Amino acid sequence: MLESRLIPALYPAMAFATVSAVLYGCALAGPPEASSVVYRIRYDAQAADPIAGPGVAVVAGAAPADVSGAERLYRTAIGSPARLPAGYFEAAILAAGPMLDGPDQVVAMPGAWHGRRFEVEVRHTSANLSGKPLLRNVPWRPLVAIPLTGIPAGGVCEVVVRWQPVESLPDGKPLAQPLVSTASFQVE
Amino acid sequence: MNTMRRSVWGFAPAMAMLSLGAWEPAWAATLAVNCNGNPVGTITVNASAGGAGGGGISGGFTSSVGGPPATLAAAAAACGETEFNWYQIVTSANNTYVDRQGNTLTPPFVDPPLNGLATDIDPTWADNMPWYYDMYSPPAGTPNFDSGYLLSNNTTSSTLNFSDYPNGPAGATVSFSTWLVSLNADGSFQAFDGGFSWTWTKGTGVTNITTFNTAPTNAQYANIIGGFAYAVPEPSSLWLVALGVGFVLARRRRRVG
Repeated sequence: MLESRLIPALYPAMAFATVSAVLYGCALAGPPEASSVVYRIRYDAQAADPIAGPGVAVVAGAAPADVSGAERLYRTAIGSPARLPAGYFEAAILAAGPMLDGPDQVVAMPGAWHGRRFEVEVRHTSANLSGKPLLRNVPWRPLVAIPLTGIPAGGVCEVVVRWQPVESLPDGKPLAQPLVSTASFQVE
Repeated sequence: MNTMRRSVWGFAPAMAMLSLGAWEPAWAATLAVNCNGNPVGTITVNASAGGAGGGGISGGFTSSVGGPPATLAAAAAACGETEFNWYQIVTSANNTYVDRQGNTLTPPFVDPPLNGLATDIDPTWADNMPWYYDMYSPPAGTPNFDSGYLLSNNTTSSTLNFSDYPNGPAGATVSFSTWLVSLNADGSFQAFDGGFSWTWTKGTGVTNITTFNTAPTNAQYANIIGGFAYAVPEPSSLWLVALGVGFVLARRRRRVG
């Protein structure tokens, strides 16, 4: 079962965020990275081809606005490095994170270019690492869509996504070393 | 006395699976559910390796009547009821659980507890009925509502799904008993349809799945559902409750003033 929602607004800094989404009746608000979107992919043991993670892909154009489209695009893109035409300025990062528990939350922090490498940190709570005793619980895997702007012209670029578990969002104490995913893409 | 009018046949409480040339233990259970002497479907649950806590359990009840294709509605009709849900209790645990009202829970207790666990453990919203999947949605905008736990989002035309992936600190272990339960149109109890017990351990996952065809004892049901509602609240009832609460608050504020 798939579920989509944006990251819940947890702190005043999010007030300016303008994004919102509703699926399955979940009303949510936007993260500091105003147009990043977190899709919740509910773990389904019967699913024939669950998304494995973590992983990251770069896709040309804007990220799909629905979870099914984003999941399909991620599956297609994960194994094949993107090639962006010269002068193409719209792209998106699709990053699948670690398996999380029901109450966990995710927020994508603002990313930045360092030369030809774009680095972004995605922070999340972890009931698992915190040892929260959960009863009714269905795990889920986050699939984050992050707009990629300011792409350097011509050549190979790299994207680095760090999944950092923290005690609380957005600035809580780190609970463990981050999981790191990388992907490269070609700008023609 | 709790109603148990179905006859249920359980088998295969545990199976061994051949995997990559080595025998690895896996747990599964299957129960045939009969109603009024006729088979209406099957409960199948399996230990699953997924989840952050080392594993869980998944499966469900699948109707075998109606159509073809078989439908849950036909199974319900064959049993003279409206819909199915699950009733789950924690029978033992080595962790402390606290409910949304701040009460420490001592097994056996209903999972999820009334309105859910304490928010600092798990803020996820739960309704006020004793059934595993939520029977209704809260008012729009209610924080921490996860519609993935709605009954309607866990049924297909022929199947009522079940999945649970508990978690906890290192060394945590919890035992559960779970019944398929038949409900009337307003969500009130009609009958138990058999069930299964299972144990989850952090890092190990689910083991010891066993089936049973008995209803819960009073200690497992009648004695522990006192705080729960017995029927789905109608919108008009919710409005009356809200008006009543508003009236009481207004009177209290006037007295303080």
